[in-house]
Amino acid sequence: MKNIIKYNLILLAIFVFACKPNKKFEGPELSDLYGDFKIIDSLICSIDSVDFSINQPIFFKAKFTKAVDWKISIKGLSSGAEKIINGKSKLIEITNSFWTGNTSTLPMFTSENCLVSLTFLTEKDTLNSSVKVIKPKINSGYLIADFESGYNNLWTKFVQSGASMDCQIRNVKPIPQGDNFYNMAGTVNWDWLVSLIDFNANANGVDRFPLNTNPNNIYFNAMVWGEPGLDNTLLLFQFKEDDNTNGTFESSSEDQYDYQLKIDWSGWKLISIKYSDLGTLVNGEPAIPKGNKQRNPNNLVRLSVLHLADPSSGFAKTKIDYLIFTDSKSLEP
Amino acid sequence: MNHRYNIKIFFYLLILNYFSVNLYSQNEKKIQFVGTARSILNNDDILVKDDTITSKSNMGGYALIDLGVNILPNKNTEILGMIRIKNQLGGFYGAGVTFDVRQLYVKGIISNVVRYQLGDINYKLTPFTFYNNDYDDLMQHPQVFNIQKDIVNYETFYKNNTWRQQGAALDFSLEFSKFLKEIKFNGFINRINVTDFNTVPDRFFTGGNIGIQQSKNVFVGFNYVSLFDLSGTSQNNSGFNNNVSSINYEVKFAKDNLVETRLFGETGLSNSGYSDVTSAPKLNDFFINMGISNFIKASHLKFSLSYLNVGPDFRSAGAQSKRVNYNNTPSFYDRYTNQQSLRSIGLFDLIRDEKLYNRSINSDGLMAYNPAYNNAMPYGIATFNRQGVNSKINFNDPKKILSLEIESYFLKELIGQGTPKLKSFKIIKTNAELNLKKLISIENNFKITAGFSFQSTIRNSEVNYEEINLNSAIVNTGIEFELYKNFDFLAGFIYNQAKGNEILPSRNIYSEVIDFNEYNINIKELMLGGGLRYRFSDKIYLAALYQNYDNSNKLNSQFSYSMNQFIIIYNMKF
Repeated sequence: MKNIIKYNLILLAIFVFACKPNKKFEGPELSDLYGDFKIIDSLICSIDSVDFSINQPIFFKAKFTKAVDWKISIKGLSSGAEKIINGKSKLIEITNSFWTGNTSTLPMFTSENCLVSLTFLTEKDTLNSSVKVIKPKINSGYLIADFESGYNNLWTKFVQSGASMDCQIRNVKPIPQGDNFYNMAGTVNWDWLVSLIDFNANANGVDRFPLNTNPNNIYFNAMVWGEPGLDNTLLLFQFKEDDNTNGTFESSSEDQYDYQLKIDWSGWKLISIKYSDLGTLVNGEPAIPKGNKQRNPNNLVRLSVLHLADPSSGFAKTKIDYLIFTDSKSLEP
Repeated sequence: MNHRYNIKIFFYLLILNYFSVNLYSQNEKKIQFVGTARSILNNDDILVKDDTITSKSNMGGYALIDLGVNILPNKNTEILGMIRIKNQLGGFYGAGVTFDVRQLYVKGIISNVVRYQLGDINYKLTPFTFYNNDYDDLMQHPQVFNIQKDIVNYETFYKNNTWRQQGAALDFSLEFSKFLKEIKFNGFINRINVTDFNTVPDRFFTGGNIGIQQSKNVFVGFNYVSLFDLSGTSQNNSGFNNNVSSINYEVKFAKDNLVETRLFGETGLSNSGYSDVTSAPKLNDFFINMGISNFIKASHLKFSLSYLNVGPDFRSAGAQSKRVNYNNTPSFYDRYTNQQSLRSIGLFDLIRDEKLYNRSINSDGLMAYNPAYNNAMPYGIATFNRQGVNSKINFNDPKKILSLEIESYFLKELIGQGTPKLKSFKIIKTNAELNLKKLISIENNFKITAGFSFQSTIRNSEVNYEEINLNSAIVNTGIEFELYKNFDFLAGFIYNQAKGNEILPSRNIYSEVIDFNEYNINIKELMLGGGLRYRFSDKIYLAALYQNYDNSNKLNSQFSYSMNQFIIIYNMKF
């Protein structure tokens, strides 16, 4: 019996020591959750200046004693653009702080100096650094209008003869992109339509806008201003297709798709919609398109932007800028 | 009206019982009626300081009959079908009545060799493969509380550490004249989940063992269980699997007929994971449990010492399923206080609320547990990430005056949680029963029971946030005295105190630790009970009990409360 017990103990010892766990602990480190917070490495930018037009990469670095919720704010000192990057970690590095030159809130970055600030949700510390944007990022897509070259005479404009009508290109800051935007404002007390502007394909030197045939791959993007204190503006985008490819849009027999917005915000905002999500509206109510009833972005010949407001609501105002179609995903300005 | 209805049910039952005795002849019992009848009337009240919303008093109860028909169509086949008729107290006549099938199985012997059972099956293998561990019971209860706990066990089919399953089982054995005495083969397959033909696949639990009895002193068993999703039964391509295999053994030695020594143990491996889910980890680990026990026949003293090592990634759904589902809410006063907060499960609920208990193994990851009751071994002996020793002493007086059991565990984690520093655990528990009828030679039954259980969890560290110190202790005492023939007086108390802190892991669906939550507790629970019971026979009794429960929460005094219950129970088995 003694031998059996002895062999059992030897076997047990071999088994236990041969099968030691290969990890020391499971789960996140408690020091990350409950330890004291200290900054080990202060905030630095991977490069001092960056050219986003050639897709030059930039990221930020910092190190702490525990994992914390942090926020990096990059603020354009000229444009006022701001990019926010959030995370929770004890290390800020390329994988969690990569910046492509885009903005979180309009306007877009321009060639300018930027202030970079690192703050924490649960700590009082703030770390600062700076970076210079040599050239801003170039957005891929098909641009309809950014108003940087002035008014194109092949666009069509209609402005009601109301009071305080101001429908023209302006350059009053803030401007979301470039130096100009298109202003739409006025008081019309007998009709919903305040003004409209048609962006015709021939103004861009093409018969139809050269877009992808698949409406699921095409996104329409525009930067739209909401006037502080006013929420009576409706903005109606009309997408007019030349289904029979004869060079013109015929409203009685061809498809028109619509996207109507109630502007109830203040300041600039990027709006984006997938072409396949557009519907047809008549007086704001869903309707059946009159053409082939298929969304054909490649047949788009005219984009109309109508500024509408309840006649009894008085003065209405909005601004638009940077109307652009993008492929596969919405615009990341 | 309702009481009259209950009385009717009992009347019919008595008639059935009469016929059950007379319907078959003395030698060939083709049909037997078996089952249980029970009626409960209870009046509860709750007292919460400053609570003006929760109703103070509540009356409830029910009457039920579990009527089983045991059919023996031939000498090799047995069929049992049991229906339940239940009538809630307070329902309208007929409207509160439910009819359910409680049990259904067929079993028999094929060619006098292979035994089979189809339908409802009570099954277990070993404590690491497939076992209904009773670690949620903490310790034995005084009889004044055990009456209700027995009803909970009946409702949940808890018997001899088996789990109630639905499926099929086979077993047969081969006997030998030389070298080996017998080899037993057991196998089963149970359906755990039923597919919804969308995301939930059919899930099965299967396994078996081969037990080799070399002689009356040597036994070796090979065990295997597998929980798996059947591919193709849903639109979901990912399938879960958990496999456990083990060897268990027992070798007995007897020296001069004075001491019987026994070597015992079980060692095995587990693996579990998801197919087609790249983010899901594959968990593989092992366990060892081996020990020695000595039984000194002269002194009727038995003591054992064993070593336990269960790896941090050891997973066994059949053995780690808990009885109590701590995510359930109590049936009685589930909400209280002016904010109508959810009331957490207390000791009082654990002895009387069968809805808190699982009826089958849990296959959806690790179950929640209450660190205030059991933090050291929440998943029983198969609790993962534990290493240490277990010792046990049993004394059973041959005159049946005193029985005593003392058990201890001294354990440590194998790997830390959030830190390399390890927690250490202690469990010390004792149960004793003193039979005063035998001691002082009186005619009437007179028993005193007592129990004590202490647990501690400690992790020392130089940094405050890693330190853990959690202690809990439960004490109970009960008395059972036969005032007149078959007429018993019952009384007892259970006291629990838990105090300290813990840092509890939060796990994802793959049981990986993804976060930690700080846990602080300082509670006291005191349960007092007294009552009378009249035993019509061994299988029939009528009891009237009064119980008081006080739950004092020192950290959040607004959640302190007390409850009282007066309950009448009539129970009959036939």
